[in-house]
Amino acid sequence: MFKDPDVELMVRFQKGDEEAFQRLFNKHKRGIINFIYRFCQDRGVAEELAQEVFLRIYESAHQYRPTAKFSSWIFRIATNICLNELRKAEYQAKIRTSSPSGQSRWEGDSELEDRSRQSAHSLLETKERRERLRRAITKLPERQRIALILNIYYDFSYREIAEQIGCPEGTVKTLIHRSKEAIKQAIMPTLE
Amino acid sequence: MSREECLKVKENVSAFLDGELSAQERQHVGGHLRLCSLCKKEYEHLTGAVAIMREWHGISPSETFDRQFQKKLQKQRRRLRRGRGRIPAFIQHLPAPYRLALATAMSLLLIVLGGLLLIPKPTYLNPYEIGLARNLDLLQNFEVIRYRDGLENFDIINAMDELNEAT
Repeated sequence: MFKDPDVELMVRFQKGDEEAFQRLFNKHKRGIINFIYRFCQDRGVAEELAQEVFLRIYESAHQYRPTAKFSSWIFRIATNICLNELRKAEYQAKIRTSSPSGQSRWEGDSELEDRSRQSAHSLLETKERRERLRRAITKLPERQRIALILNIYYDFSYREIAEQIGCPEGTVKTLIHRSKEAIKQAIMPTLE
Repeated sequence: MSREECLKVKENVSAFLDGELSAQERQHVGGHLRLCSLCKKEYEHLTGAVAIMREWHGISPSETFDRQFQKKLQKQRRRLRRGRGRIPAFIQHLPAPYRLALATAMSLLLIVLGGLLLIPKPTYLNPYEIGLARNLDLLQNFEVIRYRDGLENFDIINAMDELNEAT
């Protein structure tokens, strides 16, 4: 009936099928947590806001229209939550206390250490590159950050990103160009 | 290669990498990269930076994530049930614009009904009261009217004249 299986699940949930909602939650929770985590780089805040995203979907299910991809809809909600909630003092304080400057860490490094067969030197290089990248992403203006994350990690087209951020496609092209340039400049020393 | 052309290509190189250019633009940028070593190097740096970004696999949800969410969801369900209990089902299932229109119509209806209550009601009189109102001026001249018949009776007038003359 629907090309996108998530749309079908959402329509079933609209009709009262709670199991369909649980399936959507299980399928997308990791993606949404990581979207917010890459944006704010705080696990606690990312998980809290990801839960907020799913609660909002649960509450506003009746507003969903199966005209677009489900992933576009869910990431639009996540984008709004990132842009609105993270400005609140409550979250700003949490982010400040959980990752004080100079002591910030990149979660996922342990994963890298476990599976890596790299030499100590190249491991150090990788870590430095990641740290530079992390800092460069944090410094990007909010909309550039969102556009870049949606483009690099979720493979959304410029048109889809434009819908999610609520701006023209040409603006998205500029946002992504500028953000990639900034990241390139930041990690350039490790590239040569 | 002119500097202007290099700058123009630089602006499009990210979209080129993402496959977001038209066929003509793609051909133009691709052709330039083949010929310009400086732009080619920039392009390679960009692809390298994107590859490093893609290395960041992210995190797995913590063990407590699902449990915490289910708790919040239960709370939400209770709240929604309480809220929805007061709203008829057909309204709950209406799309948002229709619900807004319905709410506006209901508000207008309430305002109109409220306005009607504020307009003073007309007072209804019984026939006696209507008669009384119509002849109110007569009532005020009651004393004159009382003797009206007498004043028009010539015998009485003559008798009164005679009485006046005698005195």
